[in-house]
Amino acid sequence: MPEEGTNPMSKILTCAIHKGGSGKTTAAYHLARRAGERGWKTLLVDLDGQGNASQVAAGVGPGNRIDTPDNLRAADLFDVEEGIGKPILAADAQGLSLLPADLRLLEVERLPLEAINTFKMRLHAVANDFDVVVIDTPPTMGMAMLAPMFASHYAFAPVVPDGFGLAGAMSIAERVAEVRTAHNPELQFLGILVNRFSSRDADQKRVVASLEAELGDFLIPHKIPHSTAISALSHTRQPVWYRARSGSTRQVGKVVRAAMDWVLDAAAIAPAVAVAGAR
Amino acid sequence: MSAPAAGSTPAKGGVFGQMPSLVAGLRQSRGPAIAMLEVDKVEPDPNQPRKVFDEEALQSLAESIKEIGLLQPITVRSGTTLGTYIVVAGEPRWRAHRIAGLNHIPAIVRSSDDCGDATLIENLQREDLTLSEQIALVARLIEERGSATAAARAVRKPAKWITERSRLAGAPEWVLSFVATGFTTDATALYDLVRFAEAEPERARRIVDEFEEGDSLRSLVREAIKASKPSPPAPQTISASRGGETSSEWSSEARTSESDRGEGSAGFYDGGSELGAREEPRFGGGESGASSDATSHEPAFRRDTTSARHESDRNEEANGSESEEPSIVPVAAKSIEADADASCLLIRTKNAVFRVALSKRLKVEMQKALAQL
Repeated sequence: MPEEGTNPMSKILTCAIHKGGSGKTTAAYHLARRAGERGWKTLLVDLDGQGNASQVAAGVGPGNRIDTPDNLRAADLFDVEEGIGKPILAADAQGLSLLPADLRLLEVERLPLEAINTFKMRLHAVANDFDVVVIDTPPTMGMAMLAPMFASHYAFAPVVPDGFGLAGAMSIAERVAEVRTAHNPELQFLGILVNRFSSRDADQKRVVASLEAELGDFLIPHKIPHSTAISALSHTRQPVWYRARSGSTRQVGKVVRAAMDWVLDAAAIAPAVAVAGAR
Repeated sequence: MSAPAAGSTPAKGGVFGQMPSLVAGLRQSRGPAIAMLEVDKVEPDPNQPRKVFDEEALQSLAESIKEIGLLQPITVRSGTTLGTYIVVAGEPRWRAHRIAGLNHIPAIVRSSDDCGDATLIENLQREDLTLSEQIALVARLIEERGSATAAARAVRKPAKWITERSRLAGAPEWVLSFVATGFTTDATALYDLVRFAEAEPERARRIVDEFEEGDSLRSLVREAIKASKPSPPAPQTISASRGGETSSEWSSEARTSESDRGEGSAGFYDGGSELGAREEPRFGGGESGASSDATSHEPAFRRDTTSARHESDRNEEANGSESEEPSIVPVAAKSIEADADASCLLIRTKNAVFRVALSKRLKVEMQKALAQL
């Protein structure tokens, strides 16, 4: 575990896909919780104006109509001085903090491109106090999706295995490649996470088989099934592996946890403490 | 590319037509990327072994970069604060950029995870390092990798190359200052000199004191070794091959070396099988490259290789203070057994197995003794 204070080795991960309804928030939230379970001081940054991640992590945000003006919020990072000095909100889980979304995020799209540099600078300053930073992004290709890619070390994309999902994945892969050569060479794309997979859907099965055949280690080897256990996140507000009432929930929990472990391992965020469910 | 057929006709085009471009995009989304970095955001590696840079060469490099640009990007890794970078390879090119007053430098950025000791390894593979720099680097690499064997593997250099430099790292001060003069870059000759110095410190010292630029160290050392008659074969005990060391050190070191290497055995000689003991320069037993019997009479020269690091740490205290006379080294052995043809003794301690090669004479004695059992 790194010492207290500044942490030059903090790692920033972005969950992004140019496609709505792919499970970005679910993946980002579970990833942040798993990093916390691994013993790392973790910050979840909610850049999606819908504020779902904020609601799940701390019961705040536009979706909950509870604003947090006294805390640093994600939209502040796009401004040179907004919110500087404000405390960072502790989320409901131990070891997890949150930069919540608010409606100002809808306006960042109108900011000049320099705001990306501002975001990067301010995010890195905040990140120094954390071991792991996980960023949830909006589904549209704009400032709030590009800025985190300029500022992150790693990115991964949850993809629903259908034609639209593939198009979204392709768009994000191209963007990552561009950002790497032009602005952020450190950015590494970890992989594509098959999400909301209905194994009884013949088309989805064909897409998954094709991904498995073509993507090699760009495909995260744990496919998350379509499950009500996961969509219940908005009110359970706990990782799915916490709710192990039925056998199928347990099964889903295990897969989600394995996928998050895979992402953390790929980002070299090894457990700092002994963790349940570790291989 | 093809969509896998699940009984039915695979859908070409459509959804699957996107797959090749997805794969192509993904290929560029990971691994080292070349980027233009701000020169000010790049820092030199504090562990860079090279301390001296040829100012004239840097000037002319700066001129050429100004004229035609940099042909080969430098390699960097993430720095101590986010957004800064540390040079992995190419510090002179980076310095030349600063001299040229350029704001950006093309760089291959490695993720900090796959860097590890990449600097070390890249540097060690360079041709233009001085011997002193090489020695320092090898010592660090062995430190990081845990053993000379692992270091040799990592850096893809002959085992002998590593062994010689590792041994020189622990050489007496007068040898190191001689190396620093740059009069010779012959590591093999220097290695022989160090080993010779253990038996004949005065004579070895004299070689260096009387050395003049242009002399061949190799032949001077060879002559000196010839001139000094090797002492008659001493009884081959453990101590004979270990020189004057104290037991506690020895056993604890043996343990270290065993656990470091994570292999089944560690010992006086056996590391050599992997590390090229056979290539090692040899004395005493005859002219170079003589018998293949790894042990014959070389009481004064230790032949171990993998433990060179541990040994070299102690060289200074061992030199001078202790007598060079072989002394018996107690080892808390669990069992001692002879090899099938009695050419080796296997000594098992709690943590390690030592293989002690026996001299021809002892081998005969041992075979006799075994026959009587």
